[in-house]
Amino acid sequence: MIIKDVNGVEIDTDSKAYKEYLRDREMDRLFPDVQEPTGWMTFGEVIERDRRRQEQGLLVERDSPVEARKPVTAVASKG
Amino acid sequence: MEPVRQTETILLTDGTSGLPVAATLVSDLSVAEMAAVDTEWLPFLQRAVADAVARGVSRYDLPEHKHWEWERKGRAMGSESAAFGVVAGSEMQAVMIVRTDKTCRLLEQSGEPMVYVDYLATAPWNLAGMVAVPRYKKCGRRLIQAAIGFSIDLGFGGRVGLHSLEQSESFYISQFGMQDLGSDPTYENLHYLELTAGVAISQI
Repeated sequence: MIIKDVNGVEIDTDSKAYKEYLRDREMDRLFPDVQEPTGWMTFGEVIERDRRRQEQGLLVERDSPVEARKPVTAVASKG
Repeated sequence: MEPVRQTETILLTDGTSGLPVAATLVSDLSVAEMAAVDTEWLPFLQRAVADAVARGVSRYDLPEHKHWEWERKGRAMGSESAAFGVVAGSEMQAVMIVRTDKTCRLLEQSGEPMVYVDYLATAPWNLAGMVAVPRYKKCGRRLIQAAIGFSIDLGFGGRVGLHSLEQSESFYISQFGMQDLGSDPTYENLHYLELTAGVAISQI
């Protein structure tokens, strides 16, 4: 069956995308309090993170922890 | 291991009505597209944060963005990385960068190649708590599904790993069946989670 989305775009209810949409609804019903990942930290969380880093002597600017892990570990191991 | 540029029609959930809304999943985002994310997201975020502060919301409870410089991330990406995006209403709704040079930690698949989710972020207008009504929901879910699909395409069996912010751990566990390997002291003490090949297949 063909239905229309909120913008009038046609959607096939037999499509994989629509089945995923139905699965989303079921997940929302089963886990109403679970938040989707957004990737954002609050300003307070960032401050707390930096405080922990400082305590560990690891307060350096790092963006991707995967990329930055090696130099930080190397510095720490010298200590 | 870079993905071939592809687009796929997906469905998000409209934040107001809860009805489906068509969007496009784009693989192999260009640097220009990632630069556009900075251009579109940051002014909105700055206005929204200012409005929230004016309403009396503590700055501590609002999103921080200084690390979200997508153009710089895009330029820094090597051949081990790939970027995906969700586009709806002519705007980027969420972005993800994955890496393909990491191996699994779970005992049952230790050392096997996987897709590692390095960054994932949704547009600020989709953040519950940032705006009264998010425009679109399920952006993050669609990107994790894309990571699983990419892993399958690469022959990695759908294996995916990531470090999760605390507020998202229950999402990955309950909705994708990822296994929690606990706090990782080498990575901000964030929990490391991993999806097995067997469970991944059931998600696609």
